[in-house]
Amino acid sequence: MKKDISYSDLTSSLKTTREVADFASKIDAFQLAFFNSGKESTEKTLTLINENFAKKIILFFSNNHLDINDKSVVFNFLEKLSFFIKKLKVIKLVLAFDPTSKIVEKIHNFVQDVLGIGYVLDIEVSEDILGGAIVIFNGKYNDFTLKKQLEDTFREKGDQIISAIG
Amino acid sequence: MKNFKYYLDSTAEIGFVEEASNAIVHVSGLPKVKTNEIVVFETGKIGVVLSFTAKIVEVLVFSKESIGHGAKVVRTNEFLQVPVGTELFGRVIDPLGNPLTAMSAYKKPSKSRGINALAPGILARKTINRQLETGIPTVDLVMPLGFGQRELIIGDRKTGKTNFLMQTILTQVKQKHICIYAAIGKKKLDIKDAEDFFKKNKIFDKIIVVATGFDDPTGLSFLVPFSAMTISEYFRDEGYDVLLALDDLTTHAKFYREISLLGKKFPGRSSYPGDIFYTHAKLLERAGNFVTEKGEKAITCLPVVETIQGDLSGYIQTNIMSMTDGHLYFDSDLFAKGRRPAINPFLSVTRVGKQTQSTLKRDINREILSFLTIYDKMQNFSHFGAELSEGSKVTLAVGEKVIKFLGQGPSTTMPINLQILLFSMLWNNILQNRNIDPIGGDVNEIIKAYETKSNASKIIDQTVTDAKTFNDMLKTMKEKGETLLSSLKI
Repeated sequence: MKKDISYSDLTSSLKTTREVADFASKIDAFQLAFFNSGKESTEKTLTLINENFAKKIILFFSNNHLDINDKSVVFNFLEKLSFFIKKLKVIKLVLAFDPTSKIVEKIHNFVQDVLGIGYVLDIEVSEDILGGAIVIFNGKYNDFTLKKQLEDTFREKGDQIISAIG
Repeated sequence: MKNFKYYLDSTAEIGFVEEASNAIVHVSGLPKVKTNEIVVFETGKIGVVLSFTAKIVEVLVFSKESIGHGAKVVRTNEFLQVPVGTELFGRVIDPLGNPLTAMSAYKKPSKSRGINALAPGILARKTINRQLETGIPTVDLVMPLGFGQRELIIGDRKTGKTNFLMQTILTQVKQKHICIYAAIGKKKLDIKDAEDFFKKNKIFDKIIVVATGFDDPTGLSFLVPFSAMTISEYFRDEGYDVLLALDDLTTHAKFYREISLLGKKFPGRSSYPGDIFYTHAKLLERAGNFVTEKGEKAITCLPVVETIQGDLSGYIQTNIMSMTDGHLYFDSDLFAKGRRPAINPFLSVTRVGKQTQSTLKRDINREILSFLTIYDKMQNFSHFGAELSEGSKVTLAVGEKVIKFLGQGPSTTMPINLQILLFSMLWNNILQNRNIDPIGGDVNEIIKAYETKSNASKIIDQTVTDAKTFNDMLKTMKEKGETLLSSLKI
């Protein structure tokens, strides 16, 4: 197998940790099926798992000029792909609402534009924050929530606000 | 301590528990964490950072309840500290300064000190030159200790080690010194017994007990001696001589072994980690005789180590022997023979204690030790059933009296000048025809009279001070021994 193969082609569509977990489970299933396949072709084993997944893998092998029926090549590929997935960096986002797939895609695209590839989102929903987001990345905790803003404002100008209302 | 949210806002860093195994948890995140920094879990539990790599932080948790995978952690920018101050007197606290039971809540001192202080260097130290009184003739006359000495108390379980500590503490408190008793992972009943002993002798309000029970979190038990040492250092700097009893370091080593094995440190001899020597040495090095702003002040440390069937060659036992200034060996055979305290003078060592003694005390020390050696040989000889000469019979008879004199009840302590006086009397055959059984009423009455009759005690103290050598003392006893005795009204 060539050294300059980029696995990000396969993982660039993965936006959230849930999608990564789903993809990883398919790789596991493929690994298991591959070892139990005997003389069956790899393509057939793949299609038994998931058609879309199979298409992606077959396309990846053909784009990179790899022999999909060479067991050692497939074995090496699976090992490296699993390792690559474990290396994906997670950005944890706490949002006040459950984002649609379109919003997730927008956020992911933004992350890709700013930081590059190899990042996935771990989205948690918490209505307590009212709005905005908490961003946790590499152990850094950044609170950009409406709740925090309001708390800070009330701490600083609480008396003024109360007198203005009253 | 503030709460989780406060630290989250102030440090803007977060970590997540990746792996938890009893007292040790591995945490990801917290990019700017430091070793020995306190971390707070979202449930309010606290822990301390032991070590870290680029990805994982190893945390020692001070809580018995398990911590789940994914739990949030924040760092605090604070290091382990123990509250210090006179408010601690008469308290039984855990190593973080919290009362051991909810019933014994108290107002915490406002000052606090870091637990992991470095030991002072050689320039801050002074030669040990003052004798520390234990109130036990076997020690004060035969194996003397000095202020600032680190003397290991070693022996099998149930041979009177803790009782010896209690007696020493009792004597030291009477002399207005600060005493700290550290009970490491002891049974709650044993801690209560110690508390009761202090209360019974009306000294509890002058003592600090730092303790953890055997069922307390391992991390807390590991901190006990360090915390007790920190409190000792505070009082030393305040201008007091401090006696610190660490009961016991074998248990402490076992707790540290548990922590290290859970932390996946490579096990060494007897599965103890490689740095067990360092851990105990850095603790005991903090004791000694120091030059402080308030003069020469000492932390005398008495660590206890347990042996198994009298085996002095164990790993922890030999380690601590090599980092202390001697040891008192509590012999189970002597204990079984009824000797109290069961200290074996032939297997005990005091490296710096003798240098604190006056010529008179040194004379007495030599006299007793050489006599005990002869007596021991004679006893072994008599076991063969040989016909004994008159001389041998006399030696055995005197030996019995000396042994009786050195024996002592569990809460009896004898002032050192009285010890010298009584021994001199015994040696001069003045008391040969009297009932001198120290455990009996006589000696206790003498001690009581000495403590209450200030005139008599002044005369005795003067007599002892005036005698330069043991021969002088014996001469004085011949002349006015009877008068001195009658002043104590036997």
